[in-house]
Amino acid sequence: MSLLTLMLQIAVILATARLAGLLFRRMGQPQVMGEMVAGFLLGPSLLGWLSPDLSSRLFPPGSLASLGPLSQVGVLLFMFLVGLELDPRLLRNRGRAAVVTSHASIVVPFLLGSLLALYLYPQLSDRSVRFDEFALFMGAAMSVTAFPVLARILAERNLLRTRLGAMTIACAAVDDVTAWVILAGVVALARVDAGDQPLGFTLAGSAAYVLFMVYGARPALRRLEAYYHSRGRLTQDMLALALVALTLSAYTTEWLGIHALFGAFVAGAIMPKDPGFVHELNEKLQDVTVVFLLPLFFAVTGLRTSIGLVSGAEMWIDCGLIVVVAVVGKLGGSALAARLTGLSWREAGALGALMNTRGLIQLVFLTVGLEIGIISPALFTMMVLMALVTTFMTSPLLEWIYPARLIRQEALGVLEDGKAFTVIVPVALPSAGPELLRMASSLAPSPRDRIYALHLVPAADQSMLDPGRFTRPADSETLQPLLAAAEDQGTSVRPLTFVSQNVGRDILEVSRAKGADLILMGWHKPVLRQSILSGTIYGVMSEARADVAVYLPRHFRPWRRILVPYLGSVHDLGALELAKRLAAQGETELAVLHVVRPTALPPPAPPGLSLEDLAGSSGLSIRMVMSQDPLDVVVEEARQSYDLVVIGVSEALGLQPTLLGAGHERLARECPASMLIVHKRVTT
Amino acid sequence: MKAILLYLVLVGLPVLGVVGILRLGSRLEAPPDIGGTWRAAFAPAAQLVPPCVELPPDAAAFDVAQSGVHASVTLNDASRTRLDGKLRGMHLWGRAENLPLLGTARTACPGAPLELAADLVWDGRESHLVGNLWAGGCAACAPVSFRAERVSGR
Repeated sequence: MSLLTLMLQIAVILATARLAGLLFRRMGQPQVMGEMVAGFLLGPSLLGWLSPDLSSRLFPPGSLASLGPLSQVGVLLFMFLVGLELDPRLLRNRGRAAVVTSHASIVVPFLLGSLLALYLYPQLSDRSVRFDEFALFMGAAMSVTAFPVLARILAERNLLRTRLGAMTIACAAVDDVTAWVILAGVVALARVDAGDQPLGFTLAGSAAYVLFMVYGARPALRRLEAYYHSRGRLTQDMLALALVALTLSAYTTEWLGIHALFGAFVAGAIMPKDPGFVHELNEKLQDVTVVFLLPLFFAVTGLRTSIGLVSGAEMWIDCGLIVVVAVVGKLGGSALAARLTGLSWREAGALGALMNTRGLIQLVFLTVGLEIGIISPALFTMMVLMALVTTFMTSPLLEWIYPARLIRQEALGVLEDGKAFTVIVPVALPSAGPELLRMASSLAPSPRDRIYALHLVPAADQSMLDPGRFTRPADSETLQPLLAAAEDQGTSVRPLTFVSQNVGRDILEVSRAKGADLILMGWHKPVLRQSILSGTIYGVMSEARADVAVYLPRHFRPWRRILVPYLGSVHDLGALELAKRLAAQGETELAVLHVVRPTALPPPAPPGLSLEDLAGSSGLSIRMVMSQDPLDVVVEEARQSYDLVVIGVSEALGLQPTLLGAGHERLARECPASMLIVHKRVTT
Repeated sequence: MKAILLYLVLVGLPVLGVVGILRLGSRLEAPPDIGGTWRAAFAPAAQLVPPCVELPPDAAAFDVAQSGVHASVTLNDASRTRLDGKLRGMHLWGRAENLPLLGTARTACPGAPLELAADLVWDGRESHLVGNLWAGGCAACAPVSFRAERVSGR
């Protein structure tokens, strides 16, 4: 096969995988699900069926000879990353409930898979395969959980830090390790049977290999961690060393007869677990693995999967049986064990649904089974369909059992009592954090007041293999500067970090759940839009049940002189309220510029919220100006030496929230002082 | 105590179950292994009527893709004719519908299915597939008999 054909194949595979991934993500499915389906579509099951000519031109016989090794390298890297992400603490010091649940979540589907093997062996196997190998493989295949997909779903639903999330992750980690050990055993048995290796050699060699990796290689690799700390980053030499460790380990296990994948997994598992090291190593390897190599693996799997091999009612009934047994064993077994060990029915059902995710790990598992001849091509196809069905059903099933809204409410806790002033501060950029905090702590200075720093991670930015790194609030890189500033000035801030499918909606939900009085947002100039009060800010201002303020810092000096332009709207009154809060913090001069059009009457203010009411005894100065053009007057005044201009949203001043950013926002552009643009919640 | 009891019920019993299944399954018999590539020697047409299928005169290879009792036989002809079939004991039967058959069947019985029946025979050293290929329901042509030996496994 020519290099040209290979390049074309790779281009088609990558494009199809990305498109399908995108489509599935829009359907609320994990992206990897779409990529798996893309591989399936490119194989004989769809492309080969619709257009055999195109299929045979694009993937001529012998394609696997080139694509196969590339995809295998991808799977080796993937297994290394799965091992790298395996936290040994998840396997130790677990509570009794987690031990029982995790073991039952393996053994129950294993039992049902073996039971199914009694029926399938005479139907879909042959005498070249021993029953014990076949039954053990079927049992292990039914027990598989896709750890990376599961971790990603947990992170997306903000479940990682809940009791359910912790238990699910622990169970999945145990399942992962156990399933690979069983597979290594089955492969060894099959190869011994085939006469490739003597059993004694495989057993003794495997034991020596594991002992060496745990007691020899792992301590030696700790030097890598020390070197990483001394250099402060992962160098190319260190990356090369990790890759050499991976390939040597994979080579050894392949040579011993227990498959290269096991070696790749173990190499990842014994790598130093320093979070920075793991994160950097992951980051360097993940993109090329997930974006480039794994889609090739999905395509190779798809080329080997022919739905045409499952023909006739009898075979489709067998296929259905496999799906039912897989779901009942994994979902039912895990849920039952979780319920009996103390989780609520809802939590137990959610755990079962999550553990039922098989995804990519199952495809890797099945490919090994097909390669060593334990499962036949038709059974392989049926099991691939089962993997697709069980992975596809996870998200909707989980949403049904444990709706995202409920999870969010539980995670956020109940509304707190009291009349404290509560400010939600969504932070998108780390550099914006400290200045937003200065504003928030000036607006909510009392110890009773609450400031929540909120960082929402768009789901699209989630790491596939390191989903947890975005979700620990105190560890959030984005919130770090804000939290450090809070610590310096002794301000109490509650950090919140969530993965978000819709940032605007989630800001609103958090503000509702926390009973926020004010949502204080920053603004940074986006690539495609110029205006401030559009996009997410528009969405939040339109729907918030709290006041919303957008802070545009222009300098970092104290606010000694504050200007409040007042045209008579309720938003101007909201601006004045906030300005008074700020002025109450020190020796601040608060000037109100009341602009009145000669021909217009100002709209009536709500009871108790007139300019006079708010002025009260606070000592602020009010200057009235008559003008047909309030914008000119306000811009001119704002150019005087004010530190901060607090202003209500206003169509007359070109500062109105619009979906597409139609306001000219001249004031914001021409005002040299920092600005706080206020949108007062209008109660009906 | 409750946790230990739960562990015994939820983990211990299923493990015993697996052990029992492995013992029970060791008595099961799977279909014979016929997957792989076979080289067939076709018998010369000695009948009065011409053969239904024209294949290379002396030998031809065909592939068997087996999934348990289900097998598909792909002939090494120009159109890679595929017959879907089943194994019953040591007997293989396959059929391909609506194929443009070569030979007499094409004109005498258009649209007739191509059928295959063969027995797996052990000659003390290796297994052979011995059987016939014919056009179903077509008396105008004669079955082609063959004897095949396996060249490579799957």
